[in-house]
Amino acid sequence: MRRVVPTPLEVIISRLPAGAPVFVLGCGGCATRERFGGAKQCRELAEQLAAEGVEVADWAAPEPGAATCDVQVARRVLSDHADALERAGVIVLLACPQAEPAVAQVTDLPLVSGVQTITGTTTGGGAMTVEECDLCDDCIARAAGGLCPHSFCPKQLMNGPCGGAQSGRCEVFPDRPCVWELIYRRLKADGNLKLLERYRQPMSFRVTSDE
Amino acid sequence: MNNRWRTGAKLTEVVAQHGFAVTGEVAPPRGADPSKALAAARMVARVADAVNVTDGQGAMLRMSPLAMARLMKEQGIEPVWQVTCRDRNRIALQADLLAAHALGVRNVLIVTGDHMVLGDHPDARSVFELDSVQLLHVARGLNEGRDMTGAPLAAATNLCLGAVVAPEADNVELQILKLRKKIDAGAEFIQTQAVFDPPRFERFMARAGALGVPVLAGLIPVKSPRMARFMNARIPGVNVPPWLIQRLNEADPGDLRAVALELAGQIAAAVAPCCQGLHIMAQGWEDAMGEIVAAVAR
Repeated sequence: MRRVVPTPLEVIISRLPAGAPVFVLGCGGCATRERFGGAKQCRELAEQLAAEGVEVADWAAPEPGAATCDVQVARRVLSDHADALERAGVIVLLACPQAEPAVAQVTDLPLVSGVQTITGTTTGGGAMTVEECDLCDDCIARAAGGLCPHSFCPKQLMNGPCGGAQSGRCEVFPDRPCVWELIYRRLKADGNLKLLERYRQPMSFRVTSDE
Repeated sequence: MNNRWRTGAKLTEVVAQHGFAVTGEVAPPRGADPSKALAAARMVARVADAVNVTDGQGAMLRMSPLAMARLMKEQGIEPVWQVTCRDRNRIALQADLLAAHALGVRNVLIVTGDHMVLGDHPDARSVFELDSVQLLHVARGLNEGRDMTGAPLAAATNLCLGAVVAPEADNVELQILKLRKKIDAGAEFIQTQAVFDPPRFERFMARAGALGVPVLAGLIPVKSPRMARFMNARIPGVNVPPWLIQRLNEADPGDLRAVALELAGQIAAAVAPCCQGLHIMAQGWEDAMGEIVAAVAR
């Protein structure tokens, strides 16, 4: 599972252009919900930076529900704070990395991320956690006891396991179970092993434009 | 070269004609000079009907096996070109399959490939866009004159498609389920991961035999107890049993090679009656392949 956590203050400061006043920008989407880039965290970071002697032009966080990775939101919030941004020399962004391209499209100011992503694979007790759902249109997990091999298997195998599992552990990451083993056990218990016989076609990776 | 081999023949034709086939394998060089790898291939070809050429085995960088396959053909050695799904997307894979036909390659072994985390370029981007079952489907389509979008090709390939299975994997049920899919997708022959437990292999064959394609049992001569431990720890899907390690441990250092070959020969002789050939991965002992094969005839 990917998580976003705050970058240590001293690391943020080390990345700032010398003498540049800072504008702290948050996000009303995941960052507010997960408490790493809502109004509270933006205000706190602004105060901490000021306490370290960094000049702060202002801070802003879109209202809850408005995500900065949406370029319309980014444009609106920055134009609402045009005066402060006139004084600022850098934006410190408290939002997931996906928001960076949106902000970069609507300002020429340099961006410094105030957060970092970390990747972990298990929760306590070695249970599997949902890593990433690829939002496939033909969800394979429905035919695999709710377990998605495309997300969990390091080789993204869709038609059955490789031959490398050892005692039910993944050959690539031995600290986690082979998802195909879990799928097999669950479907066998339900009398549904036949579901695995279906040939799964290659996925589409076609890129489309939202515009 | 094994004299019964007609260069350019398909592995399935050899099995159909002789009832039994022997394949070996070489790895392409870790550098730009193919001469040593070709010398190893020549040695394997003295015993084998065809010689597999591996594709970045263990996710380690080596020369393109397609180039190596062509160089082998030029020396009269029939290659089985191994192609993995690890490093190429669907366009590159189809392009290389077309190239293989044009270069005279007739036998192709389609595998998923070892994950790069286990190899020498762990920071590489993994592709795995298709899995081995899907790539078999695609390759069969090329044989039938169309690409994977269904569009017609100016000329079809004529490739004999092979697949792998791990008969001693933890969950053999799942292995057979996937093997069935591979055969449905177009696999015409099977080469297995290394076999060490003949009774278990026989049980596997009792089920796989009904799938109707020739199976070549994989054999690896285990050269020392150290190699056995390494294989168990590092080679996916391989389980060297304790009894074999024990026998190697008990051998006098001077006799180790003879004992190791005798053990490999024993396994070969035990599995040969229930399958259609042997796939010997000699691991540097290319010169000793003849002894292992001879054990089958005895």
